[in-house]
Amino acid sequence: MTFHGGAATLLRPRFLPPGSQDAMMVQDSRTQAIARPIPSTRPHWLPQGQRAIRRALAGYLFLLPAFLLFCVFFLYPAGRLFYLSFFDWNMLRSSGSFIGWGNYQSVLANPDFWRALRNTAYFVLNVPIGMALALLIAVALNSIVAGKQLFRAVYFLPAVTPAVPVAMIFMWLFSPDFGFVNYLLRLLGISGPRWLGSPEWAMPSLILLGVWGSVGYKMVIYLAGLSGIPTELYEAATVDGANGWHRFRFVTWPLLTPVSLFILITSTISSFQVFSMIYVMTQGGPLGSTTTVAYMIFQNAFEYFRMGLAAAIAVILLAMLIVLSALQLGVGQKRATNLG
Amino acid sequence: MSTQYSRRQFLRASGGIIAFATIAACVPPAVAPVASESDTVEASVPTRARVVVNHWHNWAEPVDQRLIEFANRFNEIDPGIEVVPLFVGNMATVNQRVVAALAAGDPPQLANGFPYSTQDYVEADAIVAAEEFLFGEGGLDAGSFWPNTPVELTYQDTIWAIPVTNVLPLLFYNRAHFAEAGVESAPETWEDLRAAAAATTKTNNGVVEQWGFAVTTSEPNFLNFAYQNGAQYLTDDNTQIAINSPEGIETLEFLAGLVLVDQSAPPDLTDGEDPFKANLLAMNITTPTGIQRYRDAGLDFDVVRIPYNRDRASLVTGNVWYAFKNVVPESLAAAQEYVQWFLSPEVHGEWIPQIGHLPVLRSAADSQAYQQYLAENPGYQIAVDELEVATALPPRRNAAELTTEFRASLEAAMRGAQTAEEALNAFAETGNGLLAG
Repeated sequence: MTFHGGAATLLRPRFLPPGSQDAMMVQDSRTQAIARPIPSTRPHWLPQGQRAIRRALAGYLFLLPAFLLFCVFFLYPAGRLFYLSFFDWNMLRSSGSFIGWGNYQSVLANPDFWRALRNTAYFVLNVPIGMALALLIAVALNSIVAGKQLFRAVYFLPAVTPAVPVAMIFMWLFSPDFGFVNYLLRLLGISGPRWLGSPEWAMPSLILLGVWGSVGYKMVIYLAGLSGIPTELYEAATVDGANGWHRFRFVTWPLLTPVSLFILITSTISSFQVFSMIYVMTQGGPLGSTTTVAYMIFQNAFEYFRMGLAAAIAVILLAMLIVLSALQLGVGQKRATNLG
Repeated sequence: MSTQYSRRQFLRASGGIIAFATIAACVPPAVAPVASESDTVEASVPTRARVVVNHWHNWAEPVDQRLIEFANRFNEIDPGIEVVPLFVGNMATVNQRVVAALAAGDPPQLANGFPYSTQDYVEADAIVAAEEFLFGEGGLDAGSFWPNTPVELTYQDTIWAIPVTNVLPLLFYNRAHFAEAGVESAPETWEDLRAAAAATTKTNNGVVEQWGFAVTTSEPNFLNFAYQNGAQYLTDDNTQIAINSPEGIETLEFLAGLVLVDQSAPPDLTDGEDPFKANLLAMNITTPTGIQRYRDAGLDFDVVRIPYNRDRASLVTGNVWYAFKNVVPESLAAAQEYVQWFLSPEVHGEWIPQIGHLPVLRSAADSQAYQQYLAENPGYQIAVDELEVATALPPRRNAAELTTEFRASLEAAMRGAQTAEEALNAFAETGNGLLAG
């Protein structure tokens, strides 16, 4: 049996007995293949460093459009935002005067900011609730055979529905006196709350909408994670006497840690940025109970045109998100390391 | 068959394309560019340069289409001018876009705006005084308007904004609900209102099926009640909050009492909802636009002045246009021509019914077109009559934030989070800071 280079030389050798004639021929063939000079258009008169740069240039050229867009639409605005946060700039009145940390001091001394931060943290509760629900649905869908695609599409629909019409529909559903939700509750003999009209219930209503809107997206990510878990692990666990809960607790959940971490970080960031549903449904009310940090930025920037102050709030929000994400990543990686 | 390129060839091609694109971008165009929003010259009228007047507004369909038709009529009269109305969203959005355009140095010639923005625009040196704009030769004079129409638009004795519609709040009541509750006449006083609201509120096992009245935190609606009780929003020199007077506090106590004590009005019917139209509310306060809207919905309703406590009073506000500086002078002159045409009595008398508001000119109310409209819609006569005596809000600095703070204080009292006195005193403290700038 003779091999003449090509794919066969790379695929077959380890199945050949060492020292055999075939093996030696293969060895020769591989050596020749490695030693064969590669034709190059590289100019050899250039120093090695410059040659490396020229070699990398094509890669940088391919990166250039995306990098330019990143600079124009993110890096420059972010830098400009940070710069503006040191100015007392009312967009309508003046070009602004430098006030150092003045805007930051104003924001941190403003009780409305701390209330907005509390409200934002409250809204972030939708993340663990949504993750738990999404995982439950994903595990259930992963175990069924018929109709999996249909259910997946149905659960994912809210994620692709535009936020504003959804918010309008939920406003009608949550209407305290004449809405469908309270109508159903009345049929059950329960007097429903005033939902969006109540300072106590407005945020839970938004959390409910947040969960409904994001559970499909989380579910799809979890489904992808579940499909990556080898079935051999479940079979081995079953052989060891694990029941369904044990298989979930000791196989599924730990192996989904990276997926959970990804969902946790991205969902927390997007929850901190919640705006459209608040703008449409409550405008920060009642009694400021749904004014989040993002909505406060909007008010200052686009209603009062205090761009410097709004920029300072945005920078604080960004800093908090970076710290929070780093913490989540750190905890997640530590957990993953422990599991490993 | 595919062609193979070496890295060098690829780099050369890429460099060539980038160099070509750079050179192409730097070469002056061979033909004149299409006129931008603030440019004035167009080539379609060879004998005379055509001047473009951009008008940003918040009037959605079908009013948007009517406005375009009016602008086209004007454009036919003067082919040297092209007025281009452009719907750019609700009033808040128009305001945001205008401020952004001002910051960029490229505002439109005309834009709708909040009347309360006047002082902020003047202090930003952004607008042309409407007096110069309107009262020139062949134009209007100050006496053409209803007495208090320009008050909110006047700062340092100069009228700065162009009033184009008037609105004032009216009380709408559902006749069928009144008859069912045994209420025989429309409420005239606060006590009548309280009694009618209680009588027309219907509950079933503790669940409200129909509210008697809707209290909102709308600034003009509340202030209309307050002015009828002898209160003022600001001091006479417009520098301090005055609504925390005993009369103002009494007004808020009365309205909060309807919610918290009588429970004949809900705490949370926002302006965006319209339960009156859905037959779920017996009385509602809104602008004259409700006349057309509720009639189209087939409601059996009537409209009256807002009930009073001490004095009869109405609070007039409305839509205004601002004319901006920093545009080509020819286009500003063209905008002036358009505004004077738009506010001529006959045209204005035709325009006002399109939007359902009230005229700003006495002479327009007397025009044949508007008189015919009044005959067909008698409910408007009450509102037109009010214009003679209606008062207006004063101009004020940082008005947008002031309004937000004011609404928050009203809400705090109406929800029982604070007493009326606490809420208005807290607002006065914040508001005085905002007025001081």
